[in-house]
Amino acid sequence: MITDEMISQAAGELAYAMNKSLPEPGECNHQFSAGFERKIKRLMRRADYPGMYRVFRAVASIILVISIGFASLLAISPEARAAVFGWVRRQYESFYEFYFEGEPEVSGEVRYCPQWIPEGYELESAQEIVGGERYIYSNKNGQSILFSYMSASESSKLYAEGAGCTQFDVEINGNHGEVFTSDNPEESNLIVWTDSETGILLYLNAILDKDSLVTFAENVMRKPNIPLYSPGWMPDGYELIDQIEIENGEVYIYFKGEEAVAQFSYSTAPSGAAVYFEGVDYEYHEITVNGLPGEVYLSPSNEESNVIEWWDESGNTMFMFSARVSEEDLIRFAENIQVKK
Amino acid sequence: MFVYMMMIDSPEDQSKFEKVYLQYKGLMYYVAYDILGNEQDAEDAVHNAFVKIAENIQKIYEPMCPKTKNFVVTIVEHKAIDLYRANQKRKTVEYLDEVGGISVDAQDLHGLAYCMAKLPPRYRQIILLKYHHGFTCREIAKQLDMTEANAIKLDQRAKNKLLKICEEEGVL
Repeated sequence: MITDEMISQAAGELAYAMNKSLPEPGECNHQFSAGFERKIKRLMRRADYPGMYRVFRAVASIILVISIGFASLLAISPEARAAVFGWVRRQYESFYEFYFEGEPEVSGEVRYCPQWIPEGYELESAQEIVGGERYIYSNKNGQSILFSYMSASESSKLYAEGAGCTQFDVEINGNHGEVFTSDNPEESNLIVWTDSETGILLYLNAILDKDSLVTFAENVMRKPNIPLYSPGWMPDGYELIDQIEIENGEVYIYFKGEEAVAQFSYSTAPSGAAVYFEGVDYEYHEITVNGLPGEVYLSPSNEESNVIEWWDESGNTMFMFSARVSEEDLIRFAENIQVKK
Repeated sequence: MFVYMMMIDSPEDQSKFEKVYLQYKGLMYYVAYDILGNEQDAEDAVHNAFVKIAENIQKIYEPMCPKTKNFVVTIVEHKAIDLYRANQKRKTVEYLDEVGGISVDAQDLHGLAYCMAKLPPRYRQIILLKYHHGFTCREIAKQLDMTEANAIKLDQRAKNKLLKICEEEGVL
């Protein structure tokens, strides 16, 4: 038996030995190529385009002059303030920078989620980032869709590079947006738009045509504030291995030993949630969980998991728990689900 | 059109990233070149590693410390092996035992740590990232460009393999 604590301690010793097996950083000199240095500088938000900074500085100076010139007007004119304060796009040749100009707006806990994705794409990951979220979808051809959004703040910036791009103004649910399409069909296109009510910048980068980008953008909706749940009781011997955030819900994965896996998942969706599982010859009957309707599916084999699912119609939430445990334990697990927040 | 996401969100993080970059870029190249044997490929692996380091810059507390050194070489080793695999177009499970990574001098190691040094690189990497650096499987999945489910499986397999080596070595 090797415990995690034993592994942690040994891993520390291994890391030390590994470091000792390598030369000191100062002993390793390599003249990196210009291409490499350029890519790294982009990574550091300092794209190494000769002259670009001069132009940026010049643009910044112009903005400063204009701002000073508008100062008295801004004090009395909300319309003029709205016209200047907000998301701004700056361009140098094929390089675009989107940044927020003015006092950052408080957008609260607003979150967005696409309600339509092109056929063939599936969600690969959903990740929280500072001031927003990032969704990545992919299809079987290895093509990806990046959808992300960010709140208005001094550190929120979006950079894009695309030689030979064509820019179009579009309207997304009453808000202004821009589409940038590439001449090269193998390169991705970009749509950027703002939610004027929240001050949030949203963008989508994918190998999709202009109409699909607009359709995708028009179907990005604010997420409802959904409650999060967690198990309050677990059958003996199960260890939580991971907790995965999915669209409008979560999945908890448990291991018992090396083989037995239990899974608790729930999903909330305004249009109705659904849970799927596959089983042959399962015995099925209806049950109630704290007054909520549900169903239990019992496997004819001890080698397979039994399943309980129940749903809260008022909250459009569906729950499922599967494990190799008795019906009583399934129901006990379900009755002890707690609201996290 | 290529979009650069905001991966480094504060001046402090940017400064930290620059320190990590200046301190370890040569060492990371050394590791990558040792695996790939090609200058261009080694630079690509180092760049790919720095993308992941930028995404995780908030988890690096002190740029000039052994833990950070181990983290960056672990990431670049992984990226170099990935690139090696792509170049060889071998995408089977067997690569785990075929591709050499960093050669760890295990003469001063004993017991479990000694067995750990004998793990194939990818198993060693997830053990280090999870149990030494404290990343979750979800975070590791993003660092190593795999699904979270695969990261969980890899962790399990790594521990199974470690147990097997321990039994062979008579450690447990």
